[in-house]
Amino acid sequence: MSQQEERLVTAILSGDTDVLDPLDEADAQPLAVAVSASFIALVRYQITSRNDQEITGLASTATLVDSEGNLIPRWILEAAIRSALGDIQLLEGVPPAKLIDAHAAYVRDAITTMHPAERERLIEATAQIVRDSGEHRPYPSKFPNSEP
Amino acid sequence: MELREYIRLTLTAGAHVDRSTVEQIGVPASKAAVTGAFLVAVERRFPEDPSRADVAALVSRVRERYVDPERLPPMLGEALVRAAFGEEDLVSGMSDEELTRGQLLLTYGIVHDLGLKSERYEEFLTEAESAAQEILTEEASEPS
Repeated sequence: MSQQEERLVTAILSGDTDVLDPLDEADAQPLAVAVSASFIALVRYQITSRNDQEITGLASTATLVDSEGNLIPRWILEAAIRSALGDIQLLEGVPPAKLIDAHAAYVRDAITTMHPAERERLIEATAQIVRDSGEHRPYPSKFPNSEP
Repeated sequence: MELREYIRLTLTAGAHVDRSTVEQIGVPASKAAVTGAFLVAVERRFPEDPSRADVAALVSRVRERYVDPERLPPMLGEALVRAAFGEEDLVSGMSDEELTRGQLLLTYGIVHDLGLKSERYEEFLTEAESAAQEILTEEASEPS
């Protein structure tokens, strides 16, 4: 994990979600990595049994919107959650920009109610996910806001 | 063009319907026809509420055998089928274009997979037409 990615993961999971707002081109790729890895760590932390009901419950706990106020479609959020748990094929056909919007909105929403100690554990778990994924990262490599 | 003929066309044109055909019947009737046929098709395919695995298997089969898989993302397909069995909020935020395209492709795949022929095919069209008419009637009675 690069220093920039580490800094962004720490900021996001410490509740400093301002970093998710419009950003410099240079931050786009590290931010995509940080957001998506944070999302995966968060979902894996929240899910205990991985059964269908629990996944559906997680996908419907909140009405999420992207940074421009557009509703995040439920089917995309569920695809994101199930892919974070291993069903990568469900990402087929999901627009990358919408996927990362879903990741960012979910993290932004969930992190606000988490205890500092939980956030610390998540930062560690996220760093591990980035390290383990190497070059085969199971998420988009570019943050959508960076595109014209 | 009547609803029945429109539904027949969607099932014989490889789930491709051009704009001029939609304009002939009108957008509301077109959407009702697509949704009506879809609901009847999934009911035929699953007379009882399906499990999540059943739904995933159906979508996978349709994508593999009957339609261009790139036009039907697996989770979008699953969401549409599950919405037909009560999980309506799964389609919240879905665009009209995604919804209509997904329903069209799934209906096309299901109907062909069921192997409906002659009388049974005509029966399906009758039920689908009736479902579409019901949707239109409900929409007309809703306060604008």
